[in-house]
Amino acid sequence: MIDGAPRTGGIARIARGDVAAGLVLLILGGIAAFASIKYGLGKWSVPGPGFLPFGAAVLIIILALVILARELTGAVRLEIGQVPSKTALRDVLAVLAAMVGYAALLPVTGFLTTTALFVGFLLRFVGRKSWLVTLLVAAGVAVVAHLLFVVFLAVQMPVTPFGF
Amino acid sequence: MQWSNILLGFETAAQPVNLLFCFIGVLLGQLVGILPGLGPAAAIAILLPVSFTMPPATAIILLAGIYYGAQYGGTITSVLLNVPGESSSVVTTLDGYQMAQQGRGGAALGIAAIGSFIAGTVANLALMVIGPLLADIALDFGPAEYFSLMILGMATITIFTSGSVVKGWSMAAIGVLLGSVGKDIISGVPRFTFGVRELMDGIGFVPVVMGLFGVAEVLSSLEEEGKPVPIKTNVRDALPSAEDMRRSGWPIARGTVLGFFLGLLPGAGSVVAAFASYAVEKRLSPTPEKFGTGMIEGVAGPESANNAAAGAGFVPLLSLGIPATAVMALLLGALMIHGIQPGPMLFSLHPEIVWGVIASMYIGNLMLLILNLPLIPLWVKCVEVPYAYMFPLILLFCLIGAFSLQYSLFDTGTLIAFGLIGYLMKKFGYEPAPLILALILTPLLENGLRQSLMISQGSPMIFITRPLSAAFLVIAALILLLPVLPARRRLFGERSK
Repeated sequence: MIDGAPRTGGIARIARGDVAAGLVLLILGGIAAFASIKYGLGKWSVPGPGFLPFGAAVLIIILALVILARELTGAVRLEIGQVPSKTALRDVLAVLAAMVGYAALLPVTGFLTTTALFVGFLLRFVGRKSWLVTLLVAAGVAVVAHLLFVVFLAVQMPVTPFGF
Repeated sequence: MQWSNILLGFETAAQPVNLLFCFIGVLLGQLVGILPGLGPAAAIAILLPVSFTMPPATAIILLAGIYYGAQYGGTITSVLLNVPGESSSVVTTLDGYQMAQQGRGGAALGIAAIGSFIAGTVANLALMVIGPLLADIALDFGPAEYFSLMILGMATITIFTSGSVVKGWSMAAIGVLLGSVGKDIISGVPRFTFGVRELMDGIGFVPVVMGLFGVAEVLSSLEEEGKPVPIKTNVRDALPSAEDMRRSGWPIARGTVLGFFLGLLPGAGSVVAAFASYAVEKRLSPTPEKFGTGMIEGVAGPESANNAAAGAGFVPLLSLGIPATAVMALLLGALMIHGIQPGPMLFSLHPEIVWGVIASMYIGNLMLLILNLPLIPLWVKCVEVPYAYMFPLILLFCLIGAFSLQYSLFDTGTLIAFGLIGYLMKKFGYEPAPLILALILTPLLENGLRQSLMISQGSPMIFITRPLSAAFLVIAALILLLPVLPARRRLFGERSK
């Protein structure tokens, strides 16, 4: 189900992605190894705070090298997720942005409003629903959420000076 | 048989609040099983914050209900729509959907429900017997045994859940690193905190888990297009015929036993059990070529196996404190956050929790049988709710849940970050299960390692000279050799999503 893009192009791009993943792991392992040494490896008889993390970091580095080696020599062709289409990618980014927006706005506009905006945004721009449906559902969900979490479960969600 | 404990368990499970949450749990589980794109792991992760407001027994009853309930629900869409609601129901689409096409969908669902009930109940009985025995043995475990057992657990989870062993182990190692974040208990040295105050207590496994399982699932599902066309089903006849029952007897029995033993192994779980049962039934059938055309044995066996495996997963969790699957790891985390240390002492220190959960599983299985037999058309309706309405709710729940843990936007940020990470991991074929397991087990793993080395005065031979520890490590090594065996590829096939 690779939207539009020719199949081989898709696989090749993800295969290069595997190299990217391998590199990320390598870097993470490297940083972790350095940090672990700094925290102190201790001795074998008295392992320090860096002991286990160092071991894990070394393992990561080794495995990352294996992954890179396999990818670069084309030794293994693994089943990997599909390449997302442009719309799917845009949707994913929109969702992430919406979630970040939620966290940012929550202390500012309060639980009820932020929830309504969040649900509304997603319904309209990702779910592609009409304005009427968006408005109704967003408002409905926000009210129910308020009743459920703030009133019934007494969770201290942030509120504006207006009380919601 | 510890009758007084069993009685205590039923007393606990029969309390109205526990009955209520048992029902809610299995209902949610059923629902989650039906809906593709939302799995029990995600649902449990999302409900973790809610479960903290209740006493530990109730919380585990609720969350456990979701897990084994999902094994029932996954069947419905597999049979009626050829869409597996859960990965453990993939195999059911092979013959179950065919049966539906032949107008025998009701019989398929009925047999699945009955088989699931029998398997779940038998697994529970076995749990009641084996659990305390295992816990007794485990009381003699020292730090070396625990360390080796954790390694074994990670080995099996990695083998069974990852397409690539290398990637699986890299995720486990990342999990260890994540689990090391925060102040080291023994020395007080802050590790990997990079000056961020909120990381002093560690990374907080609930937002991580909600991100990796809940948010990442949603992000991946956004790519899927097209809704399955609902069948106009006439499932009045949810009861299988006498002939169906006769043919299903042995498959159910075999599925139960096979599923139970596979479920005991960390990592194997209900998916492997279902596949294995299908393979076994096909091999034992006098007409194997008919499999895939609507053989009821191909439904009865796997559907029993997956429920048996789900029940079996509780054995290592409750008696040893070792999670067998990602979901069990979540339950382990839930126990820990309630301040309960899982392990062999659980049976003696908190019998009301252990036996309460076990007792509630009988009740839950019964509830599910009742829910499933007559109410199929209702469940089918649920599939028709467009995803566009569902996913904002799921995300909202995650956001609220993450925030409400410590009223911290940092946790919310962690959720979002791991949602993105989880999505990328899925894209590149890295499984979250080993990471989660390692994240949760790291404190125990590290303790086991450090204490063992201190006892042995620096010699790693302690892990091999102590017999039980050596045994675990040997089994772990053997498991790592499994991919080399051709039998594994035939039995487990390709990992489908």
